Amino acid sequence: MAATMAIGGSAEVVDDVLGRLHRENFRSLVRLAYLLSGDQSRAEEIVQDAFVRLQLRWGGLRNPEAAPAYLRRAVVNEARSHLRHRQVVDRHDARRTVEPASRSPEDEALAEADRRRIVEAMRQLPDRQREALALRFYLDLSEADTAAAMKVAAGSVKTHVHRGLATLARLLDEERSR
Amino acid sequence: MTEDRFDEDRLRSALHAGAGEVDPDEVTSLSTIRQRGRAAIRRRRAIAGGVGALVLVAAAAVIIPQLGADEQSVIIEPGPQTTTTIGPIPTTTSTVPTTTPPLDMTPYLWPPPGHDQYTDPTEAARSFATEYVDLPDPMLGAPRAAEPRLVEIDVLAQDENGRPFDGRIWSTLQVAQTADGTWRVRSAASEEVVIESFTASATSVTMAGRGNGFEGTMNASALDADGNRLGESVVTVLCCEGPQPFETTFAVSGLPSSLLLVSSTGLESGSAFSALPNAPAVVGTAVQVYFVGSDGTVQPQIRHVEPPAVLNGALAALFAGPSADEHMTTALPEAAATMTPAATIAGGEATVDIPIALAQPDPSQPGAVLPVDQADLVIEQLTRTVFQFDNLTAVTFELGGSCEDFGRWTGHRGECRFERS
Repeated sequence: MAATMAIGGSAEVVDDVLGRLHRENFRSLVRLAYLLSGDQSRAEEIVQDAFVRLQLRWGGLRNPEAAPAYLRRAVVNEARSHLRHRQVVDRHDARRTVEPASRSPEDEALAEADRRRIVEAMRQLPDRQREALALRFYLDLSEADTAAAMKVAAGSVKTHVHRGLATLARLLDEERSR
Repeated sequence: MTEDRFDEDRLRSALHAGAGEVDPDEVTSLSTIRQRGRAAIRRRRAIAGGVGALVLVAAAAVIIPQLGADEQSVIIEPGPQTTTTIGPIPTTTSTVPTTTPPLDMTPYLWPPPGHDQYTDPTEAARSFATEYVDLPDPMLGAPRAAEPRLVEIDVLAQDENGRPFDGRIWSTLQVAQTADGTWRVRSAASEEVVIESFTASATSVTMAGRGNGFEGTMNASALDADGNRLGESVVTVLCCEGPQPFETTFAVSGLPSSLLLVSSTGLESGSAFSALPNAPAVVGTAVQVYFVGSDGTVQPQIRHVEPPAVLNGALAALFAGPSADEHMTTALPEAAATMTPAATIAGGEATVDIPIALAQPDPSQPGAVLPVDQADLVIEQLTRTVFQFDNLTAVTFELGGSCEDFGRWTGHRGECRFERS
């Protein structure tokens, strides 16, 4: 994710830096947005929005190395907003659609069906827990970087991760017992 | 068996595998991002100028005027940093020493004349947010320097309890400093509700733009200079996520000073808002005219003059004097406001003939000499206004057709011809 950049300067320089940032971050950010929002078609838009916002704020970045962190934070924010919106729309339309979880055996832990169950269970977590788990275990960010992306104190990350893992275990256990 | 905690490696594997199913089109996306970014920057700049899209199109045109009786071709790029190229006369690379020019403050949103003026940009922004937009207790970000004399201040989104809402921004205000040091809000721009164009008369307003389509509505308003509503319209955006195009026409009870568009979705867009002054269409070329600021120094102000006679236009604007809300003065005698000097250009030199009536009594009479300080300021106002055009290398001032009379009028210096320094 680290990129050596020169922020500011001519349009060509900005384009070049943008291209490099995109090359190094776009795919992983779209996948992060998918894990956070659960919406594959929206994930790409969320990340595009983040890149567009970055261009608008180009001159406001004090530290060039902060661009990837800015993008992560923007994706987290946007995904959270998208989820809230979707929840309101779902309530409004009274037709919330949650795909039925797979009933695959637990011993197929890493099998396709089980992965789907885990990813689906992630979506039932509270926002902060889901974000902490995705940033820590998908992007493999440090606690400090995770805290920056979530705009929370570093100490809170540990709490959110701990609670997230516990909630995930409970959700999967409840599902198995149904 | 119940797990107290989910296994981290199992989660990591599941997340990577699940996310790996998503395979975005990176080539197309980069192109899209660049296009959207450039469009967004263009929109922001358009709003920064406080003018509508149509005005921008007009301002982008290159004007090819003729100057004076000599019919020399002049190519002028509009804008405060006007450059003039006169061919076939050799050009000079010397520049007129200038202070940072003020931004064009002719169109602005807040505060109105007669209202408290603000020496702090944040206070100007806060007053705008509370009195103009009607936000009860706005949260503002720190001012960010955007250009000389221009800062951007975010109005931060708040939840129903008034706390920051996800770090989101309702609108970004552009707050500019006037020549007298006070700050004014020039525009407000949101990425979620955008005024793209409008036409406004004393009876109706038509506004077009884009707004967030999260099942929401927007409120389009026309306001007078004091922030009172002259008319409004509820705009419903149907379907779809993301900003959707709209157009609305509504009646107003007078010619509006500004247009305001406020989101009322109540979702993440909260009360995003955009506002633009109802600036008259800017016709012509931006030039600088020099007046005397409150600190006694000569400072530029922006005027738009109609080509081709841009030098004559600039001098006419100089003689007309500063407007009341510019809080500046002029060293030219009061009678200048009723007079128009005449400029001609030949060989890269300008000759500016000033009506004799400006000097009272007649400069041929004893005592008809400007005080030293006033004379210096008059000459500085005149020469700076002339030498903003890079290709003028010298100027001769005449009073009633007489170079000597101008020299006598300005007393102690006795000069009427000035060369670019």
